[in-house]
Amino acid sequence: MQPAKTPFYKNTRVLIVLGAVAIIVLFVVVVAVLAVGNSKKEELTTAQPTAEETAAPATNDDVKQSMAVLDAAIKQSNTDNAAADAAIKDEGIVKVSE
Amino acid sequence: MTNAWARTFLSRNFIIALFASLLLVAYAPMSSIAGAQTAAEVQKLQQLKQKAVRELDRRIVELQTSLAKLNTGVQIDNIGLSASLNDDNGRNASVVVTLETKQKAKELVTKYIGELKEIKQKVTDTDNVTDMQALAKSIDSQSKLNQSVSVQARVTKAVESMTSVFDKLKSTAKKLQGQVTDLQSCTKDDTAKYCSMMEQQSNKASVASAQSSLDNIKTILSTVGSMLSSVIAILLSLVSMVVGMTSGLSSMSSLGDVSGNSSLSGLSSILTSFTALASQLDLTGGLSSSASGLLGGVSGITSLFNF
Repeated sequence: MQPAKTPFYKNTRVLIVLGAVAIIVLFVVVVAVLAVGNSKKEELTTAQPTAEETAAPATNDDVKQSMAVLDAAIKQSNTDNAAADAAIKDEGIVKVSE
Repeated sequence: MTNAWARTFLSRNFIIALFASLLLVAYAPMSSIAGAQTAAEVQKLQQLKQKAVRELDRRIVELQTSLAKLNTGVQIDNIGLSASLNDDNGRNASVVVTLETKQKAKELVTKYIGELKEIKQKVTDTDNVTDMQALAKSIDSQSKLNQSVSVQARVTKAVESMTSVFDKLKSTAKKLQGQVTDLQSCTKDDTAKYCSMMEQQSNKASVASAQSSLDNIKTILSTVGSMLSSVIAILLSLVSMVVGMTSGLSSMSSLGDVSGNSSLSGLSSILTSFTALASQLDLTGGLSSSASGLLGGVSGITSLFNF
């Protein structure tokens, strides 16, 4: 009578080998996924230049408008500086008791 | 005869009549003198009141105008122009008057507008010269206190306006730098529009000069940015000092004459510091105007090209 054949899943050696193979396959899959992800990210970065690079240069009208806004800001600033100087000098003060 | 005369003139009735006559004669000048004194006092009271109300109104209007100015904000785009203006310390980000500073300045102004109105009411209600004279002295002695409140608000607004100038200078410079870079590189798709013009030697020289101006502008902006950053930091500390110095005081209407008040002795030095800040602002204003003039020159050059 032949001894009963041990099923492969009860064979320790076979299980160890299968486990090792599974770990190796998993490792390879993870590394591959990460590598693909990184390369896609790089492609994305190079394919999409910054807004600054793609922006068209300002038109002359844009510049003119900016200069007008700047002039207005400078005028306002001069007025406010003059008001600050006047407040510091306080020339309008009247001595009530005299 | 003698006895009859004596009886008549020395009788009690006669003497009473005599005194009554004397009193009657003296009453007219005495009453007119007293009347004149009262009229003079009333006139003096009215004069003092008018003068006090005028001065208080002037101070109130000054503070109300300051408050209205502080309530108007400025638009800051905070565009980074170059590495030197957009460094790791976030220098760009700090070239803005903080909300904390503005809030403190506004609260102080609002408080003092209310206090001045209280004193004005007290002046209106006063009906004798002595009280009014005391009030007049108080109003005079509190002038530096009022002035400090007004100055801190006005300087805060002036600093904020300067940050707006700095911001607009940066954005205009950035636009012009974009145009000049394009002219220099001629690598864009639309080179045909203007790059053919760059083959002319005179145009090349103009663009080189524009770039040189832009380099100078960047240096100026870097200086203005640094100065403004320090001005903003000092401003916050000065405003906080005025707030701290006044927070312990009772209301101005009950404060009286503050000429000898030790807690307000530091106001003069604070005003001197504000004067120094205003000088710095004048300096940054001058530099900004120079930068603006240079930008005008660069814009004159780039406008020759069909952007």
